[in-house]
Amino acid sequence: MSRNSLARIEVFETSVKALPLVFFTTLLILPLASLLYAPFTVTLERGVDVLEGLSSYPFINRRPLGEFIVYSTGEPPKLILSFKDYGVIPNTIIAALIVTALATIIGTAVALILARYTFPGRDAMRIASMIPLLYTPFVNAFVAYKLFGQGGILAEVTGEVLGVSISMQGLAGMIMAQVFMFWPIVYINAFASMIQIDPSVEEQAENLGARGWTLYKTVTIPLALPGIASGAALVFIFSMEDLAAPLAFDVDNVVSIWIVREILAATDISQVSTETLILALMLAVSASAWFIAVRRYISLRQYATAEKGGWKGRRLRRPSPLLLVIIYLLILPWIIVSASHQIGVLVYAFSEDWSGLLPRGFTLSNFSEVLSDERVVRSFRNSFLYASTASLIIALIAVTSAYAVERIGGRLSTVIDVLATIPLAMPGLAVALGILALFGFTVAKGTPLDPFTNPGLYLVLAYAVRKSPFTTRAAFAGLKHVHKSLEEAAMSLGARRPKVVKDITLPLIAINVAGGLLISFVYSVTEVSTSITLGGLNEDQSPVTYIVYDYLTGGYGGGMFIHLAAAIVAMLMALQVAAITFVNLALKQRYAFIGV
Amino acid sequence: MTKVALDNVVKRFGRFTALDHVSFTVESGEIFTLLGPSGCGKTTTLRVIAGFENPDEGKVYFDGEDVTPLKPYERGTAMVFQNYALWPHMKVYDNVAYGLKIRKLSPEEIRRRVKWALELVGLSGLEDRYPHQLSGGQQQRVALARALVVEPRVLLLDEPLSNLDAHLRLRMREELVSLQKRLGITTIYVTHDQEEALSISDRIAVMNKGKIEQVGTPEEIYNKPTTLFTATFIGRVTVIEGVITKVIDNALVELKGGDVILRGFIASGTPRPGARAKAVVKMENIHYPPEPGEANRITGRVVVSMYLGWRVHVTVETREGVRASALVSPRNAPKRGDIIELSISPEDTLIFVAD
Repeated sequence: MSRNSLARIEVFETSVKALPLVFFTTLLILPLASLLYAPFTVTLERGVDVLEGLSSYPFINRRPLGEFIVYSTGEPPKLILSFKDYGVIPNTIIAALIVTALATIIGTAVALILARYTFPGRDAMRIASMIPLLYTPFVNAFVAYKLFGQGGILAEVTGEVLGVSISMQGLAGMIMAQVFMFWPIVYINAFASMIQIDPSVEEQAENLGARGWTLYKTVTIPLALPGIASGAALVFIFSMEDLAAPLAFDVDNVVSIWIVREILAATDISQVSTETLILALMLAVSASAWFIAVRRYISLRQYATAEKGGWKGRRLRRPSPLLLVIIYLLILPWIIVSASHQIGVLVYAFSEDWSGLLPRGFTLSNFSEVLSDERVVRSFRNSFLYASTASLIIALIAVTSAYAVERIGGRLSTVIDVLATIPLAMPGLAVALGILALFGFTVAKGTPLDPFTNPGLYLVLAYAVRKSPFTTRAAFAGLKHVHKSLEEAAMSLGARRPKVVKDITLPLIAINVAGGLLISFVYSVTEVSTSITLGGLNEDQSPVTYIVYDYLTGGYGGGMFIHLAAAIVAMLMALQVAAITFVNLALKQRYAFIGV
Repeated sequence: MTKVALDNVVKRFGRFTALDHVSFTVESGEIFTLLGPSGCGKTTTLRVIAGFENPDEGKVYFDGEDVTPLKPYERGTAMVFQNYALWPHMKVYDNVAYGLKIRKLSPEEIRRRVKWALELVGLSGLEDRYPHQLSGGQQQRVALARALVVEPRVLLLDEPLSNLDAHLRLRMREELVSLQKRLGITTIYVTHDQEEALSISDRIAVMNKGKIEQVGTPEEIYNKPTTLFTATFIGRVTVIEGVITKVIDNALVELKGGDVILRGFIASGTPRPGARAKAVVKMENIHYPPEPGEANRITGRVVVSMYLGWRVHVTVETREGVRASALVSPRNAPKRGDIIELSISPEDTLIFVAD
């Protein structure tokens, strides 16, 4: 920095940088750091060796229990895919690795086919492959259980057709459910990368004799790797912190379930075991490591996406007969089954009973019942209040972060860049527990602001932190498209920076920010992990996703309550569809759901 | 009327030195052009003058006042960008009025001056259009009007004509010069197009690799280049490498390159027999058929004969492989394979002695 700019303190620039820095430090860094602080002091006080605790049962099973496949005779005989129980930590990691590997292979294959081939039904497949991205808290995993869990549709059909009833349980079922839930994340990122590849790059390779699989292996996939890698990293993180699939398949020994059970059983942070705090920290650290590694990898490979590509010059070809058979016999059924998770939510929501193969009794009573339940109505009100307050905060943080990184630059801008995007990958459970550890254990303990008695405030802040990246990315994209010279022209005519921001920058990125905010809002309303942990601490302040969780787990005793939970989730789906349609059609933004 | 001076300005981007001790003075009211290949630092120089880049060393003066610490909005310059940088969300009127509103002029005064500026650039009546409703040439004029309307101390133009088609570029070039002469605003112009630079400028600074090679009038730059870079960058030239064989007097030497012997005048360096040197001749000064009075002769076989319309570009190669190119009238152009003789006057042969 030159002495000239040092000589004059730039108030505006400094405040723009300070705002996101202070925000993320207070609500992300300090809470996560206190996850480490709390066990440390407890260990000192009680003399407990935390690491020794974590290296033994139930965290690590030195003698894994159970079998991979259970076969039982009967009429019909049953073949149940299961898994061994290696303990909380290995289970979580093994499952996440398997889910990531499968989701990456499937997501990339589907992306390649939909991005490069044209065939009857392609557009329908593209739309169907987006359906699993609709967020349907918890209920979709219960639909997965209905599809291939014990006594589910797969078991019924195979029992009839093959004479052997095939189903899944435990970790195997959880892994399968997560693959179904998460493969579209790889797909959407890989697809976005592939359609951005400059067509001339592939044409050049073909011109030199590369074709078919050789072309994909040597040019297309390597160029799409940044998208594939960021999708894969997100799948790994989402699998680790997922609660829905382990709940549906009754898996207790994974990190996410372990943490939630402990928090909801506690009335005070001192009742949360030190091992749990360390587990949450491990989640946070491994998620950050993945995130930063992928981001570094992507930034090293910026060449991959040439701006020019886009939709105009896309290259679509006809598949060979063999590939066409594969598409219709493998890919299409896969996409249909994936989408059926969301469709199953609607079936539950609009039916009286779905305990057999087919649902019975179309009804709207599930909706009228939940809407007449004071608890549900209050939770909706809470969620909308929290999400809209969070959106106000997000607007400020997102615009300042994006402006600081894209326009002001200099020292700390890389830090702001990482801080502003990392919440996308940060497990909500770690954020929730961190907030409890920081504010519940130290700062606000025993005051009216104690999160154990007054979690609403912290939910707002947690939503603002966790869902800000959607708006930040939108603002960032907006700024990228506003050429710097537009602002410099105003400056050269005598306008100071705040004036330039107000007159030129903000009007030109307003649409982007509005679109981002709508998405942040919707994802705040559908947020799960902090909602059920913090939100479960005081029923009056619970958000709507906590009620869904409660319906499915115990508060109401499970059973038929899945129809009511599904009715709530169906309303959340409608909200998402409305918001995404609005952003795409009215605001004319192509919105990518999720990505690093 | 403002005089601009740069004093030993250095600008680094990381380990790359974009400007290496750049100094020059722009007299008030003149059109001063920064000319050079892409990446030579000309736009960076302009941005340092505008205040968008802070120099790491050196100072910028307007009328003797040190403006280096001043922000872009405090300098009273106005810049026209290569991409025009018109604000897409504002109408033509609002684009042009913006700088006046910043200066808090009365609405009446703003209206009057916007009207004046739009008349000046010939765009009256288009006030209510949005930039995307204008042609490229019209957008360019709006950008110019927006800069001129604030009556800047210094007008900065960054390749303002490069996005226009060839015809429009020629017309805008003329208009720009007549406007500038009428208003008398000190103007600094960046371009990589030498014809543009030669035709509009009062003076030109040729830049290369972050340094100023030469500052001079268009005639001086063209006819009396003082560095090898300027000599070879401006115009179409033939370069013959060789060794100085004879120093006839301090200015006139004889150079031998292969089987070619040329007499020429020293443009830079100290002449001494045996020193390596390059002879640079503008192609239009190499004549075919040879002119009787010209002492330097090159005989060779025609290896290239390219029809350019107004001229034929002919390259000959001597027996020892020395190549020379001339621009020949299409009427008496030789064919490929012909053996011909070219002539050059020693006055047109510039010798650059290697250090």
